[in-house]
Amino acid sequence: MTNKVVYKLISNDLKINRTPILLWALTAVTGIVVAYFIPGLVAANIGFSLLASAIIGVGIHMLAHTVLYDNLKGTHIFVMSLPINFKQYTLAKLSVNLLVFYFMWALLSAACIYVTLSRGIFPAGSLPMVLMVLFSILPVYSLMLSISILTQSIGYTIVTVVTLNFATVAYLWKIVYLDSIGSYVWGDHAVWNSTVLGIILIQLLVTIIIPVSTIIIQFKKKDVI
Amino acid sequence: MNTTLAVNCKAITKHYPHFQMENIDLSFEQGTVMGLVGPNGAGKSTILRIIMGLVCADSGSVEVLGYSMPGDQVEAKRDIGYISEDMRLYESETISFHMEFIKSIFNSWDDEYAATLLRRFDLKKEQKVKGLSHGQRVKATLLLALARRPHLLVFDEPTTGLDPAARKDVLNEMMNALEDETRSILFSSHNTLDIEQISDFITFIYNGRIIESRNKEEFLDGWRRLRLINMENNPVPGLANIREIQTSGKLCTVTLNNYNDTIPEQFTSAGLSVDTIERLTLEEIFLSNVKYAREGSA
Repeated sequence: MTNKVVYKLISNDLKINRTPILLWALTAVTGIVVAYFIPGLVAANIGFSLLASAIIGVGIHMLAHTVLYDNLKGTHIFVMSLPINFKQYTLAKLSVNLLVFYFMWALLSAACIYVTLSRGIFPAGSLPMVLMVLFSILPVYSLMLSISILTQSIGYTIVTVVTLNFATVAYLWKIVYLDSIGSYVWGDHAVWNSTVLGIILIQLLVTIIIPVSTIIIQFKKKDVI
Repeated sequence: MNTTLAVNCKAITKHYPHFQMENIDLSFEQGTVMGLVGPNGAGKSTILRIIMGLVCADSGSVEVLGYSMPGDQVEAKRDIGYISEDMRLYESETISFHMEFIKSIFNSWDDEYAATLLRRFDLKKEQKVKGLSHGQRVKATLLLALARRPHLLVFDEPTTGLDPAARKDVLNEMMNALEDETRSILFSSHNTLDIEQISDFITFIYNGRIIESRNKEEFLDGWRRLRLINMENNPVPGLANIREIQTSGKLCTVTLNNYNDTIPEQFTSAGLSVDTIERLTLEEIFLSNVKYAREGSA
């Protein structure tokens, strides 16, 4: 029964947001088409930018509508009147957001790697860097989502988004200037040294730790409203 | 586990930075209607949220339909229909979407009853929630709560902001829901007429405390307003159950709780003559109670 309600909530959020999800997915597909079929670095950049925008767009749309908007409007009170507790509610919200975001992220990652390598837009040596960039999106989104779930505040979420935007740019500049990474980017072979693997591992760990911490913190909360 | 009580709260406390709820005892049997009355900020919504498991009391115990809250809220809420003033449905979706959603969760959903309620409330399944008026939204929410046939209905200010016709519809359906004697209603309202109309028991709350709680008949029987004539300016006897005294020249109006037939004699013995003895409406009782509590806490 309880799992059924959690499943129903996830399915509801998907149904309610299906049009924006589809529109963002369409934007992502357009980006892939542009990057793949139009030759040249400029088209590739436009295509990847569209793809990245679609992922950021769908992520922010989902957390705004399924978490912040629900709380702002009072829909969460309606949901919490159903046979579900706060833990299950949190789990449902985390699940639907991560599901949609990870799906789009996986699409971006696969398309990026495939287009990059198959069209020869970037040399094979750039693959570790591309992966680090792609993996950097995961902890960033996890943190944005967690802040919105924990605080239920539009203000805190906006501050987090802006801060993370700056932090991500600074982070990317930092890693590209690391000798153990930057010196191989334009090479013909991908170099998977300990720096690259370490960074990817840390990114993955942070991506997992943030939602788990969110669940633990939420489970300690006594009051839903 | 007391299964004959719909709600059984004992010594609940809840502390917020600017509001304290102290020592709340509230219980009523299944098959009855309990009305909570209190001014804004008295703690009505907090009590209902604690009963629903949405807010956790700092101390005390809460049992709803025999389930301990908030621990057993998942099981308990299978049999509770809850509506609150600040609750909203999914704005972009239709009534039909919500009906299907609730039906998919509750095996007890009654299609026939839902269709009847749609007709009675003059709602259309295809209507989107964002296009509904406030009254229609309340009715749609009520439909979703009633058609799942819960044993306990918890309503927080269900009639606030409704026009008289919509209010009547909502109250009628609340009463209809009680046809089965095992069903109970707990509801809060500012509107003492609503409370008076459908409640079996009434609880007055003020400033986080219950100031009076008993059955409606006792409430209405227990309060009187005595209009006295005090020709010789005698002191008014200091009876413990006097809640309010107003004097105007030789006329003195005394409002009392726990009235009994010996009271007029006590005034007569003190040199005052009793002109009239009037019953109070629930609204007058409420206002008198609040005034007394406010003066007592000042």
